[in-house]
Amino acid sequence: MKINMKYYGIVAEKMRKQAESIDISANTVEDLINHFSEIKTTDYKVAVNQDIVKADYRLKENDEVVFLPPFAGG
Amino acid sequence: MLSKEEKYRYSRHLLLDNVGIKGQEKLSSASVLVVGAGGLSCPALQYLTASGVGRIGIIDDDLIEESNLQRQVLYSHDDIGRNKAFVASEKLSKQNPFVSFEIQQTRLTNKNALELFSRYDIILDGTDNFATRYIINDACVILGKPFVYGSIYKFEGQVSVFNYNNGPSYRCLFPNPPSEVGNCSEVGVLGVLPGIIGIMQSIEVIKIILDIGSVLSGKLLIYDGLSSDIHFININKSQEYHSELTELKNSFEEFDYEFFCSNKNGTITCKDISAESLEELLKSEIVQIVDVRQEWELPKIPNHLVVNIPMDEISNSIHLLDKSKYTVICCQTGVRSKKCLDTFEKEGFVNLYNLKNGIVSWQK
Repeated sequence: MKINMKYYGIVAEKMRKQAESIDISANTVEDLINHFSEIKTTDYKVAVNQDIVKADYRLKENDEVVFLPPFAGG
Repeated sequence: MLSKEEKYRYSRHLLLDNVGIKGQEKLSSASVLVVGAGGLSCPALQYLTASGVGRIGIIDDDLIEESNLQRQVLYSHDDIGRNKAFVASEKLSKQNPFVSFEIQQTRLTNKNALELFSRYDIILDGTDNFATRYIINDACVILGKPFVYGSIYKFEGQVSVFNYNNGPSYRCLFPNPPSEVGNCSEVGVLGVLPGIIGIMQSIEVIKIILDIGSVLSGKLLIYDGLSSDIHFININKSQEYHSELTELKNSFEEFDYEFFCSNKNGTITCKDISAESLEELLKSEIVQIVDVRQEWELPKIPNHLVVNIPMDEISNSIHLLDKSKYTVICCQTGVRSKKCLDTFEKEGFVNLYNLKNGIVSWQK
């Protein structure tokens, strides 16, 4: 299914992009995360359509998914 | 009661429906503690001062450096070497003599946070590391104070208001610190970015004081400077964290936040450990302590878990150590041991710690 991805901070750096639309076979957020080997050891929260979700959240076509790491700087 | 001068000074506020004289008086009666006087805090402090927040506390033990001047706009070249909290209050007092400043030229810790925070209405986060953010959050939760959060990374920033009107806390969003993030001295930052984020924080403070508009409680604002995009994420309160409040109150002052967060002074993978935390680790026997001093240095540490490998012999002897154990490197005061961490990291030691302040602090 088509998922619209948005990356921030160190996740965007490792993915080498800030946003993309992907066509992926994934039922849950956990399935989705497993596709991204680049950020396997990176800590981030997942938000779908503006809400933070858990790994078992079931994705739908055209969901907006954000990978959100914490920022340290100030 | 506003004086005639204040009425002139704040006349543009008095003209606003949502502010007026009553609003300006609320600002004058309010108190805000700004933690850190760096990139986020400089612009935030300027606008809180100009707006007439009555009492502003600033806590920072840092001294001004040349590289700060690219973004910490309160400071100039002549201020290099001086304490940030002190210089900030000096400049801001001139900007607005109706504001009173209270400065602490010290570092915020969990030993001083509760007493300090209790003196202010609102806490503004101008910090650059996770340990301090978690201290601020937990102290605000314990005391019931709003925590106006801001953080930055290269061209992006995050803003939210935690612990406000029964809203979520920072730990509801990020319960634990990450294992790998750097601060500005390592990764760089666009100078104007903390300017934007710091000012976004200050308008949240003003809205809280005036009780107007919609405060960013339960919402995280993410700003992307390169695309000018602003994104909002909803944050839910974590029942788990808030149900442990009593335990949090009891353990707050004993908890080792720097050990918990691997980001003391922005170093990415090496962690500082205090003598107290080391004592705890020793009980479990899963630790090996590497004393990198020369053989003749005293005091010797009478513990079977200590191995003495002088700094210049590390590469020859490092293969004798067990990489899977917690490894604490130590020396007299913590300086040499910190320098050795690189060598251990390259060899694949993962649970690596530096004994902060050295054997001198441990043996007390």
